[in-house]
Amino acid sequence: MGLIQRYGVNGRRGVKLSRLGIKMLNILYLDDGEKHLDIDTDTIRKELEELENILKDILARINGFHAYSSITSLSILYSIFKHRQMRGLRLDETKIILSKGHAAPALYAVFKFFGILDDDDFIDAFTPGSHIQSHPVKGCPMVLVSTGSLGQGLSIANGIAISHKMRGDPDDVYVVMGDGELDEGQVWEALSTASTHNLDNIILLIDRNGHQLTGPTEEIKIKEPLIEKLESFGWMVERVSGENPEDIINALNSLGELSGWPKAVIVDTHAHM
Amino acid sequence: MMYSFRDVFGETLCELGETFKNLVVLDTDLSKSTRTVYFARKFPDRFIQVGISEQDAVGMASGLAISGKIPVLAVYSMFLLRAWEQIRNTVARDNLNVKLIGTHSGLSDYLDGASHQCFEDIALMRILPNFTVVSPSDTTSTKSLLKQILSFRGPVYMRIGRDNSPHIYEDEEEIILGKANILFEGSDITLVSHGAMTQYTLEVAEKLTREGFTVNVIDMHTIKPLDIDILSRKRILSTPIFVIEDHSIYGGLGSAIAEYLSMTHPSHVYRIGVEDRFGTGAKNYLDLLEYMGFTPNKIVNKIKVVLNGI
Repeated sequence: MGLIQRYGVNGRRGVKLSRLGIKMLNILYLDDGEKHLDIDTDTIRKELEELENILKDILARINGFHAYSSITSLSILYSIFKHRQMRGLRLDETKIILSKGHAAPALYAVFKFFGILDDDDFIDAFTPGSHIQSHPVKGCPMVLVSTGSLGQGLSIANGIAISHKMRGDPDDVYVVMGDGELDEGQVWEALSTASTHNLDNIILLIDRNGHQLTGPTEEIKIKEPLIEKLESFGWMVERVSGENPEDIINALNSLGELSGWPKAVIVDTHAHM
Repeated sequence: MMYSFRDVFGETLCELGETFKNLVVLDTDLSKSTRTVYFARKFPDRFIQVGISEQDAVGMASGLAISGKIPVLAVYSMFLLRAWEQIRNTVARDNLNVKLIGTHSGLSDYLDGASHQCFEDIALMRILPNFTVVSPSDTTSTKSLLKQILSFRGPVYMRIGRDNSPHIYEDEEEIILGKANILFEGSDITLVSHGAMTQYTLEVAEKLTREGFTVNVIDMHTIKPLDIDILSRKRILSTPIFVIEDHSIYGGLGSAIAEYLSMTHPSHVYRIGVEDRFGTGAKNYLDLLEYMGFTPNKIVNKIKVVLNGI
């Protein structure tokens, strides 16, 4: 594979960095320049352990409702906020949509860890009228939009990303999507919209845990080859292991420097809590 | 003189683009048909082409509303319903400032036939919490109501026809969102209508007047919230009420009025609409009205059958 990839989709033709190109850029530019991140692996392990305990407490309140999906999303959600923290970006201004709304407990755990929610917020959690519901609802701090119905988060994020561009707001918009959600046609509509409109302020993270409600993803509806599918839709793609949050953080860091294309990080995850 | 609902919509949207700086228009590859192309030419930076993807477009409109824009999405009513679940779960649930315009509604898309003719939209949109549902009856009310729905914060569904828009109101006449207009006053029969059928309802009223009846005619351009004040007037309640609409007899304005009156003032409400069936293609609008039973003569006959039975 070369550093540059020829590209022709959505009526546009051009070249973009290949995945190898992104890695080279990472080595040549990011590792030498001021954008380099000093990731302390021990701290990350410790923080993730603490987070897992917070998540366990939250899941215990709802008898482990959608536990698997929350557990596999945890390192992804953590990495988004950790990366912003390391880059000195405001955490309370993070524009994030949890498209896989059923992983809300992981989102709440991360919010609690980073001080966006505190113990008081959890007093009436999961009771009628609470802003902490089993799927995210508007009214909960930082929740931009209620989710729960699958496959819709990226379209909404695209709308936010376009308005950011219209008013010159440099902030990125993060979307955390499940791999099961990829069955929905709307996801592919939105993937195409993002590249058509050059939404390079969109960062999509896919929790590739390999499972959906009734079984393994490839038995229900084939998702692979996912990198190629996303690339053919005009996205810059990185694929990393969810076992190592530092890899997710590095991927966010290197992709964040690139412009012209929407960016996706496929994160291969496993539940080990 | 006949004008076109979509032309007046497209032209007004263009004018309002000057006033409402946050107004953005989304399109699902229909702008030439919905006439949002006028806006696209004047404000290319505020026009977003989403392609033939209604669900994606509703999601994008939601995102734009979350970011403080006033998104207007104009789609054929029939195909907007393809994104009903997105409308329900995001726009309605989060009470977002999204303005949905369903064009080519009811019988107005005569040539395209059953796949495009939508008689279900009012039923599906008026059951959504937070939604306002409007159906202007002519050029003046289309202009006026479009401006009014952009002026308040909240989700709206506005239903308009394709062409064949009459001129019922003079430009200076007051059309207020949520307040029905009384076009005729009488004491024997009440006719209520909305949208494109209002002009034919007026013809029905003239025919009935010639036969010696005195008739109330109400243009219920705002279907939700329903103008319950006007429905509670003695002059209306003392007459049989006929609701005439190019929508299914199930779930439309007729149902809305019957639901309300059944609780407060049990009355005879007769629904003249599309009777549990699909449409069909026709070479011109009047042929379709004739076939579907919506010409003034056919409506008069239906009313007389009821009156003879009372």
